[in-house]
Amino acid sequence: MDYRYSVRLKNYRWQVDTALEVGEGLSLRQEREKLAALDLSAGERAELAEIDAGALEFLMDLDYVAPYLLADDPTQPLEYWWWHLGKLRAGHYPAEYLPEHLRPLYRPAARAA
Amino acid sequence: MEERSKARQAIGEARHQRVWPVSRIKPQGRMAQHTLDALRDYRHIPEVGAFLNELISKQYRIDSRLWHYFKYKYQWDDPLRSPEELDERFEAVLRDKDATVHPIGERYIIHSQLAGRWAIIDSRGFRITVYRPTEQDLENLETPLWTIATLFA
Repeated sequence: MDYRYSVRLKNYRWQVDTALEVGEGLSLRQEREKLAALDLSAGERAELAEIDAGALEFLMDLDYVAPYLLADDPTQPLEYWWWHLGKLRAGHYPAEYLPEHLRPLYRPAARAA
Repeated sequence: MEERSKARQAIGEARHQRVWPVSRIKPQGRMAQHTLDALRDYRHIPEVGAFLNELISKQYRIDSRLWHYFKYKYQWDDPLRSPEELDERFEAVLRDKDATVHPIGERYIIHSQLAGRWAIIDSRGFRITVYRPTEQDLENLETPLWTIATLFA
């Protein structure tokens, strides 16, 4: 069996697919940050968009998300949404800062209720 | 109950019972779809075909140990031979007297350098996950409060 996805995205995929799936992900934000600095191919960008969407789905749907993931870094720009998972989960994040493909997955009213 | 007693109780339970929570898989979720797509590529293998059928019959509520096993093995190329091996990995971490214990929210990370893995358990001692941390994970891990040896001294 060969690894079936983009190798450069592997650590971030791992953080989302196996750690965030159970409410954890000690390096999720750093791994996502590293990818923001890379010049990704079109294929990698498409895969990244898919993993980002998966991350947001988990964040909105899971019963438990570790508190350290929800401790936002206010020094980071809002466009870097992965540093603001607490606001996203609480429904307090301004949706206009999210990439367009993630906005349909963000349900601030449901989370804030 | 004081923090130390809570940690002792949770780790003690995790050592003596092999309980994993039930995963409620959302088959329409993106990451679950990736896993299910990977598994469908191997549905000719009897254990995979049976697991895919079990997921449907149980409406995607499944022992998380099984979900871990199939995900790790068939999506992440982990050389696991059986779901029981996940428990063996857990127990290798929890047996290590030098393993460090890190409270994180309602859970604990127990990191064993000897086993090369960390295990995460919840306050009931349920087995949440076990895997090899990355270098970044280890950098992010805060100072432990105890080792297994000092916790149970």
